[in-house]
Amino acid sequence: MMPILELERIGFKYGEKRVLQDVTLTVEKGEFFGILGPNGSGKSTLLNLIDGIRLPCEGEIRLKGIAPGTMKRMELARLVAVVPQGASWVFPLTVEEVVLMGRTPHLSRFAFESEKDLAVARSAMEATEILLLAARLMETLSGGERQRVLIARALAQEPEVILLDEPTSSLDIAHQIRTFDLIRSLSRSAGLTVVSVTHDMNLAALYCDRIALLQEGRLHCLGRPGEVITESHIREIYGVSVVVDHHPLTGLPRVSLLGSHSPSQGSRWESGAAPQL
Amino acid sequence: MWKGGEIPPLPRSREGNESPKSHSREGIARGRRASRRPEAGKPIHRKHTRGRKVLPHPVSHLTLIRIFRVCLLLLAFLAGVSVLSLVTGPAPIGIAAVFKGILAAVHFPGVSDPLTGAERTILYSIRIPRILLAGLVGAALSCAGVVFQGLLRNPLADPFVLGVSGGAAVGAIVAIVTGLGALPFGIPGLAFTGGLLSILLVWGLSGVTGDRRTDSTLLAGIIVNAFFSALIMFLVSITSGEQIHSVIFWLMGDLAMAGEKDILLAALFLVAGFAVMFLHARDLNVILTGEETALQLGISVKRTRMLLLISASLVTGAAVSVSGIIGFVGLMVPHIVRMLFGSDHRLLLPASLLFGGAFLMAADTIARIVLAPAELPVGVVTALCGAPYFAYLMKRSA
Repeated sequence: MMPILELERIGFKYGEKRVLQDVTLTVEKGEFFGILGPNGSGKSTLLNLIDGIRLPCEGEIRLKGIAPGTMKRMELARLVAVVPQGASWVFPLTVEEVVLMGRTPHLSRFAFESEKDLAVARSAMEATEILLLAARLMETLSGGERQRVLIARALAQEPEVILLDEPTSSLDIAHQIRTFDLIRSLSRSAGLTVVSVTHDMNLAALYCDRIALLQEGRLHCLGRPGEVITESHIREIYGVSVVVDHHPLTGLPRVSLLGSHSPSQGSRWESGAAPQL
Repeated sequence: MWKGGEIPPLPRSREGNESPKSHSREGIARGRRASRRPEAGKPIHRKHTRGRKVLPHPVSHLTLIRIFRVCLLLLAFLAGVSVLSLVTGPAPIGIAAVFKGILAAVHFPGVSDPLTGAERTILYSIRIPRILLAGLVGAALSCAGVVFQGLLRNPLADPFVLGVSGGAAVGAIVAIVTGLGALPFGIPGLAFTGGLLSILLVWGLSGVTGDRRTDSTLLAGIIVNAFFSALIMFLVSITSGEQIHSVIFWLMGDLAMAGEKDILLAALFLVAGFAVMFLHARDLNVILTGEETALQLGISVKRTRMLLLISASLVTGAAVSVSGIIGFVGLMVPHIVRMLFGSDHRLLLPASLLFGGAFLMAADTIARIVLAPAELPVGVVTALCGAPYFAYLMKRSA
């Protein structure tokens, strides 16, 4: 079967600055795909290329066999939904109004939201536990609640691929788990393909089928969580020491941060390199 | 492909995690809507909320019937204001006389005209054209304000603050001075061009892409505005008095000068511009949440933005060419309407059109009577209430 998303030797530059280079990967339908990497390693740019906001300078992207840059925005929006990190709420909009915006690609110019659109928006709100907030204004919500509204809007789009840009950064652990549970159950039961950028390696290990690790715009490694999240990879890419052992229940990799408690190395300052104050 | 209806419910850990605070637009703020829906924020539609009534899910989306109702309400309001405006003025003409006079004028059977010749002149040549013009200009500036605020995602935007009115005034004056105004659509056409030019200038100055900050947009507006004000004063001072109305007309705005033909032409522009705006109302809703998001939701942002900038400049140009620069209408009206009826542009646009018309009619009525028999330019009235309102908004959004 043809993979739903193919990236072939992708390169991208902002002006002279090279952001992505030679990235090749494929994502299968229904897969939960994670993208990890340090700040500035090109993760968000990669998402922008997939949703057609930017066009690759080199290489080819194919979404169900078609380059996203050549699709009409409406078609693309029916295929791909994006959950951004945040949004600004300058004007008073209610939660339901925002979630209903997810129906935009399914509506013709003159149409009002039909019963079906309302039902879809409603079940998206139910799934993300914001139905009670439907009539509240966005500006009155907490960061986590807003994040869930954005997820609900993406679900209301009924996409085949959902792109998440650090979806859980402002959620508490309960909602992190619930959000990822929801998204994974959708990918399992309904074949929704998920591509998620995240910083949380433990969550990624727990939920992703495969993970790509980016470093300075290049694909450092790609594989199952157990293959990618290793002590040596993390030291190479982030330059920090961690302990990776196994999750006691799932057997998946578990990352423990060391900070200055590293028994082997000690802190850089302790070894005599402390700045003279 | 999965369907939204099949989204599996999440395993819920415990009782609802939301504190049922009621922060929605309610009460007076969204009066009619609020009364129809269950109180927001209360736990609703949860099987496990023991002891609470299971209510239908709270409604906050827009329906066609709601647009219809609100517009009808505002239409009645507009009619009320126009009648009040019609019978108010330095010359005392009673309501009954006005009505009888108008009925007689349209040959209503059995009504004799009680008006004297002078009264008829006041009514038909002064008040009625002026009321129509006020309605038109108020509506145009308010719609332009809605669009500028939405596109720039800036609650302080308005055709006057952004310098669009200034640009349009320069365009109109150039048309008059060069004689191009004699061409069909000459004056409003050049006014539109000037307005469009200045909004593109502001757009360019305030940031090349993406996250355009509130203050940089407003600063760009100040610069453009100052430049065009100077140009207006220059152009007016090198032109003979015969050719052009006073500087005051252009800088402060006045509704007393326009002729019938001008009004008709401006109305035409308003209808065309408003049609384009209304067709893109839902797109504008999505653009409110960010241009990148709008792209991701399937809006062709560049095209929509250009069309909306053009139509907003068009209606601003139309308004300015018949009334000069009347400030702050496009700032206040969208705000008041948004507070009353929410931010959905499918309702906000027509409601601002109607409310804006009524608003400027009322302001002009005040301008006519406050120093009677002398008259104030209406721009003085709008600036006197608009500038403090601007300050209030600035303080609140800071």
